[in-house]
Amino acid sequence: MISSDVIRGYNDSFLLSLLNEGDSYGYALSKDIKERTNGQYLIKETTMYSAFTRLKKNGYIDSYPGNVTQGKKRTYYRITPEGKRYLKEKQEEWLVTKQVVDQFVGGEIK
Amino acid sequence: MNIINEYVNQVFKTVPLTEETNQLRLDILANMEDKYDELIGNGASEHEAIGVVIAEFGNIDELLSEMGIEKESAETLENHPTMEEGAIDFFVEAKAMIGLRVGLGILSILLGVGLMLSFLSAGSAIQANRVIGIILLLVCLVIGIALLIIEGMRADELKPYHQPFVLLADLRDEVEHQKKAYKKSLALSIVLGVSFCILSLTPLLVGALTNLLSLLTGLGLMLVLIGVGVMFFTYSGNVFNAYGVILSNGKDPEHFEEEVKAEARRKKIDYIIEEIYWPIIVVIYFASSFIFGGSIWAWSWIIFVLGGALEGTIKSLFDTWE
Repeated sequence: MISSDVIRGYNDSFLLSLLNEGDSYGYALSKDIKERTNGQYLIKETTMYSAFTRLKKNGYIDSYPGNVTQGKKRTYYRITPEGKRYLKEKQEEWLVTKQVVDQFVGGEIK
Repeated sequence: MNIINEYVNQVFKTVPLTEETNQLRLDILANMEDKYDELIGNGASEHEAIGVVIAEFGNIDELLSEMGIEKESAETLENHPTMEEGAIDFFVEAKAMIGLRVGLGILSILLGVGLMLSFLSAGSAIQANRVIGIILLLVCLVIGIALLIIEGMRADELKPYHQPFVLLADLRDEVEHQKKAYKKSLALSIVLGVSFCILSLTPLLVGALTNLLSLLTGLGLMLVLIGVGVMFFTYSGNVFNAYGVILSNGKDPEHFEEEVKAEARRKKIDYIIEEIYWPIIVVIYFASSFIFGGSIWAWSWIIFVLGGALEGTIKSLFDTWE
């Protein structure tokens, strides 16, 4: 499992990219992250809600109360146009980052 | 499942309660419960599932610093309970029961007196009637007084509701709505109560003016009708009062300390006026009237009128200082 220190800066992008595919709520998002990484990365509750708070503050996502399912009223999140722009920036940044990191860390172990 | 609930509540205990943090608590709790259900569904034991869910909770401080929340007022909030919907409903129901039982207690006492009166009049010549009348009176008195004492003691249980507590805004709206809705029932109850009290004169008049009833039986019936009328007052009055108590003691968590302080100040002012201001006026009234004597008594009472006017001025002065 990946240590959460390494990945810290990417939580926001993970959530944004998932929300870019459609509105969703806390548990579904954390489950998506777990499944897509085959269980290699787990986002903790507080980490996820910190990210929501940050993204909301920056205007990248909105929240709205969803319908009651299984007796629970969930808070849904949706990406804003600004969030989409930000996600695009992040994607471009990642391409560069990947190249840079690869130059040093990407080689075979000798 | 309860352990998870407990865990989250425990962690959030030090977090100042606002609409935002309350929603956060509910969201996180819902996520954890979903996760738990799924783990159980996949064949995990209860212990394993709880372990995993709690391990994946994370660190609340991380979240709080992101939200810009500090734990500073946690202490005051911990000293004051938060009333949730269930607690509010419980209070209103308890007050309604108190109203009903107090009303029944009073009715029982009046019924006892009424029965005794009618037995006495039914044939005061017969010894047995007098004895039966008095026994009935005593039985009804015991029931009535017991009801009143029990309700008096139960009122003690409701003490927390008479001190400041945290009431979230949407629940406050709900209570205000209920109070408004109850106003119609209250008005109807008062009308019915008053009607019974006025109607209660009928048997008395029948007893006094005709031979259909003896005067004492008429009086007894009047007491019983008054008792029924009083029940309407105590029941609906208590329910209406319950809403008032909740709305005045339930504070918005975001201004909790300010509101409690403001109320303490108001109480202090009331205390000063009741315990110092008015006694001084009474002393001045008597002292000056006795010293000057004679005709001054004819108009020295005006000091009370002036005192009343001045009281309003003083109170509003204190209010503007705040």
